Amino acid sequence: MSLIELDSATTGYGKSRAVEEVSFTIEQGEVLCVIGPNGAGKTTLIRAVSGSLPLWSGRLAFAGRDITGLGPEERAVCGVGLCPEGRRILSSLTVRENLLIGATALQRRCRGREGRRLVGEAFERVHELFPWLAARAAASGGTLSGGQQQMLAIARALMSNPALLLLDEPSLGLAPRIIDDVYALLAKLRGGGLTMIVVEEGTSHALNFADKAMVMHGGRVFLQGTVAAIRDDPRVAVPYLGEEAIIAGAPR
Amino acid sequence: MTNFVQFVLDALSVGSTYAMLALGLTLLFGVMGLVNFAYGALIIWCGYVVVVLAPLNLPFALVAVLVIAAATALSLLVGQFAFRPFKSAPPLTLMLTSFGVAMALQALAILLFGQATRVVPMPAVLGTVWHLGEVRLSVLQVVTIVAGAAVLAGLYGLLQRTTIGLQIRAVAEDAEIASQMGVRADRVLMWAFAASGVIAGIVALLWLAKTGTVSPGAFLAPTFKAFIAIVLGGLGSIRGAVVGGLVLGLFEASLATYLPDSMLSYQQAIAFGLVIAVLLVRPSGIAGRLVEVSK
Repeated sequence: MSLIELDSATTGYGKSRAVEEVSFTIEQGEVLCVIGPNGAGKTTLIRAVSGSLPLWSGRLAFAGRDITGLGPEERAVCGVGLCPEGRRILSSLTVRENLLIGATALQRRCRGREGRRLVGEAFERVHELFPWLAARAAASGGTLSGGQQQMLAIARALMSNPALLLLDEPSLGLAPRIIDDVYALLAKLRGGGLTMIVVEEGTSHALNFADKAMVMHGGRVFLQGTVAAIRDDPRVAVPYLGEEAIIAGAPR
Repeated sequence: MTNFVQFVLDALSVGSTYAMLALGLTLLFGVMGLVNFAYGALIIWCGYVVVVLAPLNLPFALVAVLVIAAATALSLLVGQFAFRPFKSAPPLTLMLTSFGVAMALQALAILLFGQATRVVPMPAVLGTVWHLGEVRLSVLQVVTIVAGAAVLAGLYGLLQRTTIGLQIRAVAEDAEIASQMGVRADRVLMWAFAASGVIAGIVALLWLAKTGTVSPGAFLAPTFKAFIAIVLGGLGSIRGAVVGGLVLGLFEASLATYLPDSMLSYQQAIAFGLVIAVLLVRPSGIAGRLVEVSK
């Protein structure tokens, strides 16, 4: 049984469709990267999976359960974690409070003393991955640097112990060295068996890191397959550069 | 010196009332962008609760508890049925809704209790005045200042020390992200309405003790005072509400002390003039930060 199964999902904003008939399946422990140019529908797809945008049609199953009708807060309880585009750190809250909010889903899954124990464990786990977080616990989220905020956004999503982590452009606006740090961390999480969907506009980092890849163009799936297959496919350049890219691109 | 002490005490007691009103209003603005013009309607309805309970001769402590409970229940009711359905609507929609709610609650009051002004019986002890040298200090003033400090401390404790407070602050900043983390934003919204209702109940008791009467149209005065206070101090922040309330209290007390009698009827106009003047210099209020208008 696949961990997540999206079946011909269509959604959008107002009357305009931003994602049309998109389907994919991801097995436990796999990483799917979704790439494509600006406006391809990548963030919309993430929002459709996270639950902040309801599906107009199609079906989403998570761990064998149909969660199409659930809102974002219920999907979080089911085990869907999100590291959103632009990080969206709660800047009026402290670092520790941001992490506590991240643990809300965990506490709803398991209440009382046992819940508190799990939150304590989540803090330990996250502090092990990001030792500096403990030192900055009382700092306001808004005072962190972009790279630190990105790490905090990932840490916050990990607090709920998610079965699936959604990452929307984790490298956006970061210096190359920091991007390497982010991907080193994601590789570590992948090593731990975490299932992920990573959305990126650029292809290199995400393709080197994932198992499966999906190229989106105009709200639809343009190409889909293993990263090896996608990497060698000259058509990858089409959504970015247009049809002529194939002729100009790979010499074969 | 005596004059000055008197002035400070008067300013502080009036300012505490306004700060409490402003806290109840700013909480809802912070959580859902609602400027609740129906807030004053809660206060007149508290007045009618006291009127209805009066023949029963209950001990005042019990009346006070019932009034606060009624204000909380009414706030929750209005929040659930009038405002929650519009939670992602633009602020203007929410504001118009709040006008509608205020009109409806006023009309219901007229229907049930008539247009006439009713006397709200309050314990006589509140009117007792102590003379400390030349300084006059009423029990009501002391109670008001203490209640103001208690409400502020209580709200601060709720927001800073409890899980639901943390969730209220998270929803206030970014409701979408909070829901994405598993926070039930609707439930958090209702907590904010409950807290706002408790504050309305407390401030209603003090307000009614001061005015001694209630009429269906009397909801405007507390609404405007709260509105002026939060605009003065800065919308959506606790500090803004407290600063705005106290500044308005200080301003009114100084008008009452230093304005010639012939000009006292302009007090309201002068207060709004102050708002305009402050906003010209600091568009986001005295304690407010500059924020993006587009949000």
